[in-house]
Amino acid sequence: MNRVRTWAALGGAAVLALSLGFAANHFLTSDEPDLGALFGTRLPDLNGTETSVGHWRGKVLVVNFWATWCAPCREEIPEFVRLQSEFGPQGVQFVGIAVDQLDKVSQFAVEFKMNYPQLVGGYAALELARRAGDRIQGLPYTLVIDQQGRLVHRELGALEVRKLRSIFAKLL
Amino acid sequence: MKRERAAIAAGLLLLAATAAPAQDLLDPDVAFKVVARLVKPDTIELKYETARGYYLYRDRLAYALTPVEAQLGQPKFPPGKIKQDEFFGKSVIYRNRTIVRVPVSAPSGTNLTLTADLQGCADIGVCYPPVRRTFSLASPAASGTK
Repeated sequence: MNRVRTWAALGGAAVLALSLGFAANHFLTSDEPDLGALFGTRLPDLNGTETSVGHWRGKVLVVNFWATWCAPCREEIPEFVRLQSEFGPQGVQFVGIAVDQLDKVSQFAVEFKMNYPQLVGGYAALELARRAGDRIQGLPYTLVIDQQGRLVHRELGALEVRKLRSIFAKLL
Repeated sequence: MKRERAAIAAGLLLLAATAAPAQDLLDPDVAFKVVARLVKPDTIELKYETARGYYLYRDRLAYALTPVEAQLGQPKFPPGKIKQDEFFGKSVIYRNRTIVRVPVSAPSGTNLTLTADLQGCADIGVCYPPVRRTFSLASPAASGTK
Protein backbone atom coordinates (compact mmCIF):
# COMPACT_ATOMS: atom_id res chain seq x y z
CA MET A 1 0.00 0.00 0.00
CA ASN A 2 2.87 2.25 0.93
CA ARG A 3 4.55 1.51 -2.36
CA VAL A 4 1.38 2.37 -4.26
CA ARG A 5 1.16 5.67 -2.45
CA THR A 6 4.80 6.42 -3.14
CA TRP A 7 4.37 5.74 -6.85
CA ALA A 8 1.18 7.79 -6.91
CA ALA A 9 2.99 10.67 -5.24
CA LEU A 10 5.93 10.34 -7.61
CA GLY A 11 3.63 10.19 -10.61
CA GLY A 12 1.62 13.15 -9.40
CA ALA A 13 4.71 15.23 -8.80
CA ALA A 14 6.09 14.29 -12.21
CA VAL A 15 2.85 15.18 -14.02
CA LEU A 16 2.62 18.46 -12.13
CA ALA A 17 6.24 19.31 -12.83
CA LEU A 18 5.94 18.36 -16.48
CA SER A 19 2.75 20.29 -17.09
CA LEU A 20 4.07 23.37 -15.33
CA GLY A 21 7.37 22.89 -17.12
CA PHE A 22 5.53 22.82 -20.44
CA ALA A 23 3.59 25.91 -19.44
CA ALA A 24 6.79 27.71 -18.47
CA ASN A 25 8.46 26.52 -21.62
CA HIS A 26 5.54 27.69 -23.72
CA PHE A 27 5.78 31.07 -22.01
CA LEU A 28 9.49 31.25 -22.73
CA THR A 29 9.30 30.00 -26.29
CA SER A 30 6.71 32.62 -27.09
CA ASP A 31 9.83 34.85 -27.10
CA GLU A 32 11.60 32.37 -29.39
CA PRO A 33 14.71 34.16 -30.63
CA ASP A 34 14.73 34.96 -34.33
CA LEU A 35 18.38 34.22 -35.07
CA GLY A 36 17.83 35.00 -38.74
CA ALA A 37 17.08 38.61 -37.80
CA LEU A 38 20.11 38.67 -35.52
CA PHE A 39 22.43 37.29 -38.19
CA GLY A 40 20.98 39.42 -40.96
CA THR A 41 20.52 42.90 -39.45
CA ARG A 42 23.29 45.24 -40.52
CA LEU A 43 24.44 47.90 -38.08
CA PRO A 44 27.37 50.31 -38.16
CA ASP A 45 30.49 49.38 -36.21
CA LEU A 46 32.66 51.97 -34.46
CA ASN A 47 34.19 52.95 -37.82
CA GLY A 48 30.79 53.34 -39.44
CA THR A 49 31.11 50.17 -41.52
CA GLU A 50 27.85 48.27 -41.67
CA THR A 51 28.19 44.68 -40.50
CA SER A 52 25.90 42.02 -39.14
CA VAL A 53 26.44 39.35 -36.51
CA GLY A 54 26.30 36.84 -39.39
CA HIS A 55 29.77 38.05 -40.38
CA TRP A 56 31.21 35.97 -37.52
CA ARG A 57 29.06 32.88 -38.12
CA GLY A 58 31.00 29.65 -37.64
CA LYS A 59 32.59 30.79 -34.40
CA VAL A 60 31.19 30.37 -30.92
CA LEU A 61 29.38 33.68 -30.70
CA VAL A 62 28.56 35.63 -27.57
CA VAL A 63 26.22 38.42 -28.64
CA ASN A 64 25.72 40.98 -25.91
CA PHE A 65 23.06 43.71 -26.04
CA TRP A 66 24.18 46.51 -23.74
CA ALA A 67 24.33 50.27 -23.18
CA THR A 68 26.57 52.72 -21.38
CA TRP A 69 23.56 53.94 -19.37
CA CYS A 70 23.00 50.42 -17.98
CA ALA A 71 25.08 49.81 -14.84
CA PRO A 72 24.80 45.99 -14.82
CA CYS A 73 25.89 45.97 -18.47
CA ARG A 74 29.00 47.98 -17.68
CA GLU A 75 29.87 45.72 -14.78
CA GLU A 76 30.18 42.56 -16.85
CA ILE A 77 32.12 44.02 -19.77
CA PRO A 78 35.61 43.79 -18.18
CA GLU A 79 34.96 40.04 -17.82
CA PHE A 80 33.93 39.78 -21.45
CA VAL A 81 37.16 41.55 -22.44
CA ARG A 82 39.18 39.03 -20.43
CA LEU A 83 37.28 36.06 -21.86
CA GLN A 84 37.70 37.36 -25.43
CA SER A 85 41.48 37.45 -24.88
CA GLU A 86 41.51 34.00 -23.36
CA PHE A 87 39.12 32.17 -25.69
CA GLY A 88 39.42 34.23 -28.89
CA PRO A 89 42.30 32.07 -30.21
CA GLN A 90 40.10 28.99 -29.69
CA GLY A 91 37.29 30.36 -31.81
CA VAL A 92 35.13 32.43 -29.46
CA GLN A 93 33.91 35.77 -30.74
CA PHE A 94 32.14 38.29 -28.53
CA VAL A 95 30.05 40.88 -30.38
CA GLY A 96 28.49 43.85 -28.62
CA ILE A 97 25.26 45.41 -29.85
CA ALA A 98 25.06 48.81 -28.22
CA VAL A 99 21.66 50.36 -27.59
CA ASP A 100 23.41 53.67 -27.48
CA GLN A 101 25.03 56.57 -29.31
CA LEU A 102 28.25 56.15 -31.28
CA ASP A 103 30.26 58.77 -29.33
CA LYS A 104 29.38 57.25 -25.98
CA VAL A 105 30.19 53.72 -27.14
CA SER A 106 33.48 54.84 -28.71
CA GLN A 107 34.58 56.55 -25.52
CA PHE A 108 33.59 53.57 -23.42
CA ALA A 109 35.34 51.14 -25.78
CA VAL A 110 38.61 53.02 -25.35
CA GLU A 111 38.22 53.41 -21.60
CA PHE A 112 37.46 49.70 -21.09
CA LYS A 113 39.91 48.49 -23.75
CA MET A 114 37.16 46.59 -25.52
CA ASN A 115 38.82 43.99 -27.73
CA TYR A 116 35.75 42.77 -29.59
CA PRO A 117 33.55 44.42 -32.20
CA GLN A 118 30.69 46.74 -31.36
CA LEU A 119 27.65 47.27 -33.54
CA VAL A 120 25.92 50.52 -32.63
CA GLY A 121 22.18 50.53 -33.09
CA GLY A 122 20.84 53.27 -30.83
CA TYR A 123 17.40 52.69 -29.36
CA ALA A 124 16.38 51.08 -32.67
CA ALA A 125 18.53 48.10 -31.62
CA LEU A 126 15.92 47.38 -28.93
CA GLU A 127 13.66 46.02 -31.65
CA LEU A 128 16.43 43.63 -32.68
CA ALA A 129 16.83 42.63 -29.02
CA ARG A 130 13.10 41.90 -28.87
CA ARG A 131 13.27 39.79 -32.03
CA ALA A 132 16.28 38.03 -30.53
CA GLY A 133 14.03 36.95 -27.65
CA ASP A 134 14.31 39.82 -25.17
CA ARG A 135 10.58 40.31 -24.58
CA ILE A 136 10.86 43.26 -22.20
CA GLN A 137 13.89 44.75 -24.00
CA GLY A 138 15.82 44.73 -20.74
CA LEU A 139 19.61 44.95 -20.67
CA PRO A 140 22.06 43.31 -20.54
CA TYR A 141 20.80 40.52 -22.78
CA THR A 142 23.24 37.93 -24.08
CA LEU A 143 22.96 35.03 -26.49
CA VAL A 144 25.51 32.26 -26.96
CA ILE A 145 25.43 30.66 -30.41
CA ASP A 146 27.43 27.59 -31.44
CA GLN A 147 29.57 27.03 -34.54
CA GLN A 148 26.53 25.71 -36.42
CA GLY A 149 24.54 28.83 -35.73
CA ARG A 150 22.33 27.25 -33.07
CA LEU A 151 21.32 29.04 -29.90
CA VAL A 152 22.83 27.33 -26.88
CA HIS A 153 22.10 29.84 -24.16
CA ARG A 154 20.49 33.19 -23.55
CA GLU A 155 20.54 35.31 -20.47
CA LEU A 156 18.65 38.40 -19.43
CA GLY A 157 20.81 40.09 -16.81
CA ALA A 158 24.45 39.44 -16.06
CA LEU A 159 25.88 36.24 -17.52
CA GLU A 160 28.14 34.61 -14.95
CA VAL A 161 31.69 33.92 -16.04
CA ARG A 162 31.42 30.43 -14.54
CA LYS A 163 28.43 29.68 -16.76
CA LEU A 164 30.18 31.04 -19.87
CA ARG A 165 33.30 28.99 -19.18
CA SER A 166 31.23 25.85 -18.80
CA ILE A 167 29.46 26.55 -22.12
CA PHE A 168 32.80 27.17 -23.85
CA ALA A 169 34.18 23.94 -22.39
CA LYS A 170 31.34 22.01 -24.03
CA LEU A 171 31.57 23.77 -27.39
CA LEU A 172 35.31 24.06 -27.98
CA MET B 1 5.78 8.93 3.87
CA LYS B 2 9.43 9.78 3.56
CA ARG B 3 9.38 8.68 -0.05
CA GLU B 4 6.29 10.76 -0.74
CA ARG B 5 8.04 13.77 0.66
CA ALA B 6 11.10 12.96 -1.40
CA ALA B 7 8.94 12.66 -4.51
CA ILE B 8 7.27 15.99 -3.83
CA ALA B 9 10.67 17.57 -3.15
CA ALA B 10 11.95 16.13 -6.43
CA GLY B 11 8.94 17.55 -8.24
CA LEU B 12 9.49 20.94 -6.70
CA LEU B 13 13.15 20.82 -7.65
CA LEU B 14 12.18 20.04 -11.22
CA LEU B 15 9.85 23.00 -11.14
CA ALA B 16 12.53 25.26 -9.77
CA ALA B 17 14.82 24.14 -12.58
CA THR B 18 12.29 25.21 -15.20
CA ALA B 19 11.80 28.65 -13.64
CA ALA B 20 13.74 31.50 -15.21
CA PRO B 21 13.50 34.47 -12.86
CA ALA B 22 15.02 37.06 -15.19
CA GLN B 23 12.58 36.03 -17.91
CA ASP B 24 9.72 36.72 -15.54
CA LEU B 25 10.54 40.38 -15.17
CA LEU B 26 7.63 42.76 -15.30
CA ASP B 27 6.72 44.73 -18.36
CA PRO B 28 7.96 48.30 -17.93
CA ASP B 29 4.37 49.57 -17.85
CA VAL B 30 3.72 47.39 -14.83
CA ALA B 31 7.08 47.88 -13.11
CA PHE B 32 6.93 51.67 -13.41
CA LYS B 33 3.46 53.15 -13.14
CA VAL B 34 2.96 56.88 -13.38
CA VAL B 35 -0.06 59.09 -13.03
CA ALA B 36 0.00 62.83 -13.63
CA ARG B 37 -2.64 65.34 -12.66
CA LEU B 38 -3.06 69.01 -12.02
CA VAL B 39 -3.47 69.27 -8.28
CA LYS B 40 -3.60 73.06 -8.39
CA PRO B 41 -3.87 75.44 -11.31
CA ASP B 42 -0.12 75.99 -11.03
CA THR B 43 1.09 72.52 -9.99
CA ILE B 44 1.33 69.18 -11.76
CA GLU B 45 1.77 66.18 -9.51
CA LEU B 46 3.32 62.97 -10.78
CA LYS B 47 2.82 59.87 -8.74
CA TYR B 48 5.24 57.05 -9.48
CA GLU B 49 4.40 53.56 -8.27
CA THR B 50 7.48 51.42 -8.67
CA ALA B 51 7.04 47.68 -8.15
CA ARG B 52 8.95 45.97 -5.35
CA GLY B 53 12.45 45.07 -6.52
CA TYR B 54 12.58 47.88 -9.08
CA TYR B 55 13.86 51.44 -8.93
CA LEU B 56 13.96 54.64 -10.94
CA TYR B 57 16.89 57.00 -11.45
CA ARG B 58 16.10 60.57 -10.44
CA ASP B 59 18.39 61.99 -13.09
CA ARG B 60 16.49 60.16 -15.82
CA LEU B 61 13.16 61.74 -14.88
CA ALA B 62 12.43 64.53 -17.32
CA TYR B 63 9.35 66.50 -18.27
CA ALA B 64 8.15 68.55 -21.19
CA LEU B 65 4.90 70.38 -21.82
CA THR B 66 2.99 71.57 -24.85
CA PRO B 67 1.71 73.95 -26.11
CA VAL B 68 4.60 76.39 -26.10
CA GLU B 69 2.63 79.02 -24.15
CA ALA B 70 2.66 76.64 -21.20
CA GLN B 71 5.82 76.45 -19.14
CA LEU B 72 7.19 74.10 -16.55
CA GLY B 73 9.22 75.19 -13.54
CA GLN B 74 11.90 73.21 -11.74
CA PRO B 75 10.55 69.83 -10.56
CA LYS B 76 10.52 69.36 -6.78
CA PHE B 77 12.08 65.95 -6.26
CA PRO B 78 11.89 64.15 -2.94
CA PRO B 79 15.23 63.12 -1.37
CA GLY B 80 15.24 59.47 -2.53
CA LYS B 81 17.99 56.99 -1.71
CA ILE B 82 21.61 57.03 -2.73
CA LYS B 83 22.79 54.16 -4.89
CA GLN B 84 26.53 53.70 -5.13
CA ASP B 85 27.64 52.35 -8.46
CA GLU B 86 31.16 51.34 -9.37
CA PHE B 87 31.00 53.28 -12.63
CA PHE B 88 28.30 55.91 -12.21
CA GLY B 89 29.32 56.96 -8.71
CA LYS B 90 26.41 58.09 -6.55
CA SER B 91 22.93 58.24 -8.04
CA VAL B 92 19.65 59.13 -6.42
CA ILE B 93 17.05 56.42 -6.89
CA TYR B 94 13.39 56.08 -6.05
CA ARG B 95 11.49 53.02 -4.95
CA ASN B 96 7.83 52.35 -4.14
CA ARG B 97 5.66 55.46 -4.23
CA THR B 98 7.31 58.72 -5.21
CA ILE B 99 5.63 62.05 -5.68
CA VAL B 100 7.17 64.78 -7.80
CA ARG B 101 5.55 68.18 -8.11
CA VAL B 102 6.26 70.41 -11.04
CA PRO B 103 5.21 74.08 -11.16
CA VAL B 104 3.32 75.00 -14.30
CA SER B 105 2.19 78.28 -15.77
CA ALA B 106 -0.27 78.20 -18.61
CA PRO B 107 -2.98 80.47 -19.95
CA SER B 108 -6.31 79.58 -18.39
CA GLY B 109 -8.31 77.05 -20.37
CA THR B 110 -5.31 75.56 -22.16
CA ASN B 111 -5.29 71.84 -22.75
CA LEU B 112 -1.90 70.61 -21.74
CA THR B 113 0.07 67.61 -22.92
CA LEU B 114 2.78 66.51 -20.55
CA THR B 115 5.50 64.03 -21.43
CA ALA B 116 7.32 62.33 -18.59
CA ASP B 117 10.50 60.38 -19.36
CA LEU B 118 11.77 57.75 -16.99
CA GLN B 119 14.34 55.01 -16.80
CA GLY B 120 14.79 52.35 -14.19
CA CYS B 121 16.15 48.93 -13.40
CA ALA B 122 15.29 45.75 -11.53
CA ASP B 123 17.42 44.78 -8.54
CA ILE B 124 18.06 41.44 -10.23
CA GLY B 125 20.47 43.36 -12.50
CA VAL B 126 18.41 44.23 -15.55
CA CYS B 127 17.84 47.78 -16.77
CA TYR B 128 14.96 48.98 -18.88
CA PRO B 129 15.44 51.44 -21.70
CA PRO B 130 14.16 54.98 -21.20
CA VAL B 131 10.46 55.35 -21.85
CA ARG B 132 8.21 58.34 -22.38
CA ARG B 133 4.71 58.53 -20.94
CA THR B 134 2.24 61.09 -22.24
CA PHE B 135 -0.59 62.68 -20.28
CA SER B 136 -3.42 64.96 -21.38
CA LEU B 137 -4.22 67.35 -18.59
CA ALA B 138 -7.38 69.36 -18.45
CA SER B 139 -7.14 73.13 -18.41
CA PRO B 140 -5.50 74.60 -15.31
CA ALA B 141 -8.93 75.69 -14.11
CA ALA B 142 -9.95 72.08 -13.47
CA SER B 143 -8.15 69.00 -12.31
CA GLY B 144 -7.66 66.12 -14.67
CA THR B 145 -5.80 62.91 -15.27
CA LYS B 146 -4.67 60.90 -18.25
